[in-house]
Amino acid sequence: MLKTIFRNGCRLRPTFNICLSTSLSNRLHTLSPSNTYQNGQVWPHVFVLRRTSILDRHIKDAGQMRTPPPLTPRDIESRVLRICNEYDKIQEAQKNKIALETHFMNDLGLDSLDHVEIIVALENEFGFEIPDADYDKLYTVKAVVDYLKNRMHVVERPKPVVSSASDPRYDEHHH
Amino acid sequence: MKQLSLKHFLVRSQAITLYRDIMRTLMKIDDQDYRKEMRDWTRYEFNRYKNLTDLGEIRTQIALGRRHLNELKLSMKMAS
Repeated sequence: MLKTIFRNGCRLRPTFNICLSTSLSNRLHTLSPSNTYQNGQVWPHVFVLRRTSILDRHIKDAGQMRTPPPLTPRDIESRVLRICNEYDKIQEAQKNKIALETHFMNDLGLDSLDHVEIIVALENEFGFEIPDADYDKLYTVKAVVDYLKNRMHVVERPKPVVSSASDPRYDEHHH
Repeated sequence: MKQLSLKHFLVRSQAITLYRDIMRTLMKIDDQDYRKEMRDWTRYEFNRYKNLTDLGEIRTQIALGRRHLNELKLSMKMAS
């Protein structure tokens, strides 16, 4: 079973306070001695095990459990700043000084058409269309970041994705 | 800053909407060089007529711009 997991490269998110049966923890112990404590507790990474009767479909699902990390406000900020820096109408001198408080027109000397170009580039980057009426709200970098955070429901500390190991569908047979 | 009349204001927002539609369409072009060329040409055209004051002339330019955009969309559709 472990072989199947390794073969399919199933590396799941860290799970905490998992206690394994002694035989299992002994096996894991030999594989990664740094990972297991004597009482069977595994930290920080554990290969969550499946039943031997697991179907290939479950393995395929396990491989697809690797979801992209949830978006954080800092991701959004860095992406917005990157798009702004890539815009060719901004002078080199101003590029690295773009901050949250930067106003597109007042600080960067852009006009309304340039503003449209930047927002369209952001639409392209984040993958959804921003309605025309909202363009008038987005004149500073901070306004853009807040708007995107709102639209994409991004929270400060995103909860980690729960692996399907705890999903009752895959857990009908228990140890 | 000269005061814009309401009609001028409306027509200005039409122009900005047109620019926005063009930019969104250009984003769908895969060829980076062609995209850059079209974008530079669009900028040039818009800047050229930036200071028009006569409403009739402005509306004519906007209509021409719309026609260009439709042709562009058609040619993109045929190319794909």
